Amino acid sequence: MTANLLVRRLRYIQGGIGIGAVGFILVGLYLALVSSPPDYYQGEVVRIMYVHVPFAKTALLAYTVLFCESVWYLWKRDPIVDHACHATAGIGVFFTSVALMTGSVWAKPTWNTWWTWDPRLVSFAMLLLILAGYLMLRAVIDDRERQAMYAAVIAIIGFIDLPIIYFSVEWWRTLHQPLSISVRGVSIAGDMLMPLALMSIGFFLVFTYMLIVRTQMLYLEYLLEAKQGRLLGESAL
Amino acid sequence: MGVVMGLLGLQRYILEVETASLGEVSYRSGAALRVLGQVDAGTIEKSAGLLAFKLSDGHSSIRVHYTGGDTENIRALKTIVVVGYWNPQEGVFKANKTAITPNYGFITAAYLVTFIPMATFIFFMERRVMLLYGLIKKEAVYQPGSQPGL
Repeated sequence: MTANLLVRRLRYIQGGIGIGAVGFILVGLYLALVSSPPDYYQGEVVRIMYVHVPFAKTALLAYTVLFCESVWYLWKRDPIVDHACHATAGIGVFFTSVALMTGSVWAKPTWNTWWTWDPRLVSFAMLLLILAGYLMLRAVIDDRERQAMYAAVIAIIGFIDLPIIYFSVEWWRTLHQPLSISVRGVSIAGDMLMPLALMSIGFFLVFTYMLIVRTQMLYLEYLLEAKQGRLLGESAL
Repeated sequence: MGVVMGLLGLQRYILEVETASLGEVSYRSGAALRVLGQVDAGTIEKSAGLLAFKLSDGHSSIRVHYTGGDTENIRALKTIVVVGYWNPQEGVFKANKTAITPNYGFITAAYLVTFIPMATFIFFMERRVMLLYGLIKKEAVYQPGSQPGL
């Protein structure tokens, strides 16, 4: 009964978030593909920015959420939070991979190469490796509590990569575009900033939606496993 | 909304992106045209207020007399779009503007790589949640003596 109530409540929230995400993305797509101007140097290919940058930002958001959840888990030892950590890591891998792929597709016409050992690109690829390592660690350890604890520690240590990614364009000479929005001001045109902001909000909502669904999925798998385990125990008596 | 966006996109494509091939330029004299080609090496000549060069696309080539600004954008071996009209008397393309070359293959690839995996991921997760929810709701899971291994 508790699972039923929990899933039903989450479904209401999830539905609203899903509709909001679709709305923001549709409006953002219209502005990005039809209304916004091409770049003076890059031309039309700058429109890739409206998917690449929001996905990259969402990947960083996902890791920040994972970090907070991991700290919360180590403090409270709540198993639902552990499911949320596991869910967040999987979604983080997805957003990081797509951000790297769209970045590579953008790099070819702009820099004439699919990949370069640029600090921003390398540190972002490191993030993907950290998340992949996190998931592999969870798959390898059988004991649930030890799995959750070690994974939380890895997530907290790996958080050091985030400021490196963010400030890499300031600390080193890079090919990558510097920060468009910083303490020094906004260096992007308003026509481009609006679709970028709308797409970013849309993908943040998509991340939230996916997190709710995936956490439900992992929790229900765990619940089913527990029920089947109890059933097997009763049959054996 | 998809249909409206598609129509607006098509209109924009026809007005601002579609280019004529170099082979058909001479058949469309007088009309304002956008022409895409690569600037041949060693053909750029500068004189007062005029930049002359040869534009080719591997099959045909035309001579262009360019009188617009941003002449630093016109370099040997660079692919550009010039906007102007064909002058049949002089046998040259009179251009007064350059435009930016579209790279729609890359843009399409980036958007497909984004949306198709995202939709697939969400679809399979939702399906799994529905399946698990159904399995847990089934009373058989709670009853002792019923079939294991659901």
